[in-house]
Amino acid sequence: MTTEKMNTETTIINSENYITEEPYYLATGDEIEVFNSALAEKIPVLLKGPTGCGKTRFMEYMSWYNKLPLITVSCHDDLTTSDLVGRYLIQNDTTIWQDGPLTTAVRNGCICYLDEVVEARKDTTVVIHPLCDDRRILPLEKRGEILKAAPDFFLTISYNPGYQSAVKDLKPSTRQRFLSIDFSYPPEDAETRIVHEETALPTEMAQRLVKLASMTRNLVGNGLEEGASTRLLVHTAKLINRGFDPKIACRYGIADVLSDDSETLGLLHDMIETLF
Amino acid sequence: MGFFKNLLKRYREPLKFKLPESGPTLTAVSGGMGTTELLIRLEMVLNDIKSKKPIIDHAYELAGFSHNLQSRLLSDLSDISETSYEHGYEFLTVSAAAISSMEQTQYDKWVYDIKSLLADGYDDKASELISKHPSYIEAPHIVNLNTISEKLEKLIYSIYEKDIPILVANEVAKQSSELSTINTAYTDGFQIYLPAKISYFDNYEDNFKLFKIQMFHLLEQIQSINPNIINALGDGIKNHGKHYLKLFGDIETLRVDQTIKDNFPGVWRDIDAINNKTDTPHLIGTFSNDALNTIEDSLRLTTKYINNPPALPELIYQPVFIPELTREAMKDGKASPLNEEKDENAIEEAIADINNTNNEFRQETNLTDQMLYDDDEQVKEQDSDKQQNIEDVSSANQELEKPKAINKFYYKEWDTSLKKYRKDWCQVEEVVSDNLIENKQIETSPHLKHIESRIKKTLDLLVNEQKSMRFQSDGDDIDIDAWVDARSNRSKNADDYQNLYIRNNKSTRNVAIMFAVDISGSTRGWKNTAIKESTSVLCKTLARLEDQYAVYAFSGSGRNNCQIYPIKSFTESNNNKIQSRIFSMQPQQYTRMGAAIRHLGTVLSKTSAKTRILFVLTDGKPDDVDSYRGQYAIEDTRRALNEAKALQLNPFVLTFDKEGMDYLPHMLGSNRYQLISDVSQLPVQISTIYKHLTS
Ligand SMILES: Nc1ncnc2c1ncn2[C@@H]1O[C@H](COP(=O)(O)OP(=O)(O)OP(=O)(O)O)[C@@H](O)[C@H]1O
Ligand SMILES: [Mg+2]
Repeated sequence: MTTEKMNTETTIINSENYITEEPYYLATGDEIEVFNSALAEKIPVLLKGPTGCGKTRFMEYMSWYNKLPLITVSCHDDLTTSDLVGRYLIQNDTTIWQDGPLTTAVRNGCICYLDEVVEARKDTTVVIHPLCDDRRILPLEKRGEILKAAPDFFLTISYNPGYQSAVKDLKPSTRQRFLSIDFSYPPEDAETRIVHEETALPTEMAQRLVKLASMTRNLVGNGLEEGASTRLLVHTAKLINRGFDPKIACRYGIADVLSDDSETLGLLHDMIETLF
Repeated sequence: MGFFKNLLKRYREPLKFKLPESGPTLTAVSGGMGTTELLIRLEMVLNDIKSKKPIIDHAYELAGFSHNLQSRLLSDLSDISETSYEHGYEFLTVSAAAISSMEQTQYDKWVYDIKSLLADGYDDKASELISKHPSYIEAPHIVNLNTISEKLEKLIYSIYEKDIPILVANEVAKQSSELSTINTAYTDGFQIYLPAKISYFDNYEDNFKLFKIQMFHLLEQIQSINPNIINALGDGIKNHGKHYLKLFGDIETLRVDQTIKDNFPGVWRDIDAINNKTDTPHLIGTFSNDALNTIEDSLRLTTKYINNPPALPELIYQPVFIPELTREAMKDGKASPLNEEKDENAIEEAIADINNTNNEFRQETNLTDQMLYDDDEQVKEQDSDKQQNIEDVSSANQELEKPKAINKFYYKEWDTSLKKYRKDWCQVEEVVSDNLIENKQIETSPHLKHIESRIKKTLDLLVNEQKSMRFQSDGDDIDIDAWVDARSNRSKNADDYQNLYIRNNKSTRNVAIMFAVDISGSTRGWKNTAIKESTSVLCKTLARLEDQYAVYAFSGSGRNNCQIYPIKSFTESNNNKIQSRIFSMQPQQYTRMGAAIRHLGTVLSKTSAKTRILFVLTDGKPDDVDSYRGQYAIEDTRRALNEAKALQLNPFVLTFDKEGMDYLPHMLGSNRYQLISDVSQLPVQISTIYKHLTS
């Protein structure tokens, strides 16, 4: 393994990373203005909120709105620094360097969205620190290189505070580098509208789905880890649109998704029975 | 309907019993009471009848049962004898056979039915039911409130985010009520009372619907009732007589039906179905010319039509309206919990008004008067509970100022009869014992050494699965050896070039284990030795894994004396001191399981591990002085374990108690408990559970 043989392969941003069609996003507060201001000031943003409440959709919308490519990384507990930054690969007797998604974004000036950062290993979150302050640099340790972020590079991370509660938390030193936008479930009428707009389900039925969702959200900690998300409502609405009986659709789209425990399922079915 | 199956499942485990010994025994068999003690107790319970009937034979029969079953039988027997000694004796003659042949659910229902027949004065039917125990099967269409109340409460919570307890309606109300049809359902403004069971329809689903509809009606009543209404009702009754209340109730029912129709279409569908079945035309449009949206509208219409009431049908699900009860509840400062934002002054004024008109009001409403009179005992009970709640609130407010001892913690406890938590009910103290035995006294028998090495082997297998994996197709780093290998073999095997990476899985494994060890007095003897040995072996072997683990022992006496003995905290590592702490564990007093689980669960939940396991090592049932036993203790422990599950702590119970199968399935759900009869079984048990939970 000699240095001469080392090649560099950098991923060039291709058209997939651009969002060309306007995604449907219904703002429920001033999140769009806050995000745009953060973008202008180059302050990274933290999106907090439960699963399926529109974080990814929001990022797609912002990427479209600002005409910046979006690179999304879903973090999992096996995600290592190399997965983010890059690693050496072997090709025809030589090693070549391959940029990870974060490096790609830094190099090319994209919006990088790290979904569920807390899930990643602790050491992984530390690599973003120098990127998130005035320095805006990414040290590529394995290459002995320090990469300066392109002007348009922008970092957003998301995390779900309800999940795993206090146990998996962001370190204050990470947290305090971000502006924080709270994404809880939209208010009932906004959520009804989202379900209606996304699926063309009649408003009256969408309203009932939203009501069911808020009932399941009240059950969190009492048999359920999390309540039904907007995403589940969209799924269920699609089933109903295809001619499923609403009760059956809710069973497939909501109850069975939320729990395996027969007692909790019984309760979820009763909740469905009261509304449909 | 899936839930029916689930309800049955809860109690499906058959009762475990031992065959009666053949000869007379004067001492206890396998933990149960001996013949002599049984005889004395039976004589005490059956008082009058003892000289005329042979009790001794039955004492022999019962001597073979576990203590558990014996106590249950004795308590059922004394309940029945309280109403009738004759029936008590009849019950005794068949009890041994009955308890051996019936499943727990059936047995419970059978006894319940006997008691209620006796209470209603059907002596002959009760005798018949007792003698017919072999053919007793409760009709599957009957819905018992106690099997569904928890579920309904959760349903309420999911809708309103409020705890509204559901209790069994008072029998007196049923007898004196002229307003209700067959069932009695009413509310006092913060609790819902429903009939003990409903068997009106010939199928379970419809009877369950009836319960649900009644509940929704009462919820709406709770939500809309306010002191002004109670006041106005009092006036109305004063001016027009009792039928004012009846008309009001009828109109209210129509109004609530409409509200339900708008908000809970599914429940409305049920109402519609029930009305069709009972051939009652629903008259929701009766007052289509008048607005009927609020409870005030109902009141207005009542006054309007009082002299010329329209014909309204008796609806089978119609609840009774008892303004008196609500008034009582409001007087105690428990205003409708769903209307918290109401102006408190207004309520106070209104209550003062009601109190002024109270005397006339009382004379007019015989129904509610009688009910309250007969209800006295229950009201008193609730009063003391309210007192408790008030104290709780004030103590909670002072919490910040009150200097709490560093090692003292306060935990709630579930009161199953009240269906409520008692706040800060148990005081838990961490006690560090310095009364340690000498290291040299720790004897390690060869038999233990053997077990230890077996556990180590099983666990090592587990660990090796976690190590960094070489020759992977992708990974964190290049596996130089693999590359060299591949290069030297290049012509032979091109596949080698695929697998050149090391994947490091080691630190993805992230487990914390809490061992909660029961050292109550009942563990004296072999169990204590077994517990010590198990704990010692586990501490030694778990050190092998990179998992965090802690060991705490618990015991205590009374709710203010729950003691926790830290043996090894998560941060300490296994050493001789810890081993000597383990072998210094001596049987203490009682087992208040709920408090221990809550405390140790809290400790465990503070760790940052991904998988967290709470092992409870015990010799038997929860049991403490101050009547923490039986159903109460089991239900509280069940709640505590459920709270642990909600915190994702994976509770698991290892028990030395053979009777454990009577209650563990109910307490924990399936696959979360294991019976162990001696230490040598530990390796297999622990490692299977462990593997199951951590992989
Ligand atoms: N404000 C919104 N406007 C438009 N659609 C929304 C909105 N909120 C939620 N949705 C709908 O919910 C679905 C799920 O949202 P999204 O995928 O953005 O969730 P998320 O917050 O990223 O969840 P996760 O944390 O699980 O990734 C979207 O596909 C969209 O249909
Ligand atoms: Mg997402």
